Amino acid sequence: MTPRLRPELERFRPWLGHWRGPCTMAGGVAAFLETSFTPRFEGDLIEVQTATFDAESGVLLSTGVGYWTAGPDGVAAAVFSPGLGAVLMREVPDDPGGVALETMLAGNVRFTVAVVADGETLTLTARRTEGYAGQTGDITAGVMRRSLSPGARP
Amino acid sequence: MSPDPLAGYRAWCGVWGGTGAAQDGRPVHIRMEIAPDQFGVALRMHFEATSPDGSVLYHGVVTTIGAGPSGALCAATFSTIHGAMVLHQTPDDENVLALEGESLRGNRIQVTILGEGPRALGFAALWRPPGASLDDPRLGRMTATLARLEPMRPPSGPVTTRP
Repeated sequence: MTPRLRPELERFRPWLGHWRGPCTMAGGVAAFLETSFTPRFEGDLIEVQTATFDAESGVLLSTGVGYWTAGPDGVAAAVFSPGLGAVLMREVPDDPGGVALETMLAGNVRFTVAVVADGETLTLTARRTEGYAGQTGDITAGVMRRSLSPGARP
Repeated sequence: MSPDPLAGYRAWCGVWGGTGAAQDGRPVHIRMEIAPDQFGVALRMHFEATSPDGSVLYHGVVTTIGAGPSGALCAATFSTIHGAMVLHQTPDDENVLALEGESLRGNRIQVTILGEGPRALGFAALWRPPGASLDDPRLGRMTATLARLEPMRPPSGPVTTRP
């Protein structure tokens, strides 16, 4: 059955499901990224779960959840991650076919998460930009493919 | 290693239900599920307040509660009434989880959960528009006592065989 989504979230319908792929963490650490997009409350929100694991050891490096819904100017997302705490992120202009969410953290740090679809892949980039000069610091980037159960593979 | 700020609340994991009341006295059926998140670093709560027959969702909330970098508890929250918001723990007694925050529309939201033994939780939620006092008629309120829901167990006794 096709899940219902509120009109403002309809553009994310192709993203629903589970995605996995290699990722590079801040400092160049090789990792694996998992992300899932799941509608809740009859499509009033999309719950976005992410986790990264060390590519060699499998140790959990980071985890987070985001509740994406319609805000006054695009997507508004309440996000929790142990490294961030709970923050409210708002959509900022970005390339068509993608979404960029941004919030300000303590210490004049701008935190941005961008997700861009490109054919069969989703690219997720998380970036911390510090100071008025916009000096870019930590960047995490991963390119994911849809993760299907074996029976669902074509 | 720092103590787990969620330690006092992990015993609340489970499914809770009961009948409460909204601000107008209307009865509401409440179901609340609390569970660790997939890696155990946070608690996830799913709350639904419905009409007594369960057919109308008055209020749905999903929230993830955990410690941020400062060690203080905070919650990323979605509400079908208030939208996306962030709540922060406010000081209260032991065995009480009190959270407060502001919605995108500027409504003040307060949620309090009180442990009343292993099988009962007190629940209270209050929201008020910007500038509204505590006796403002626009105030939204929901209160309930919730019981832990467990599978019914048949009375124990000797196993009988069919004749």
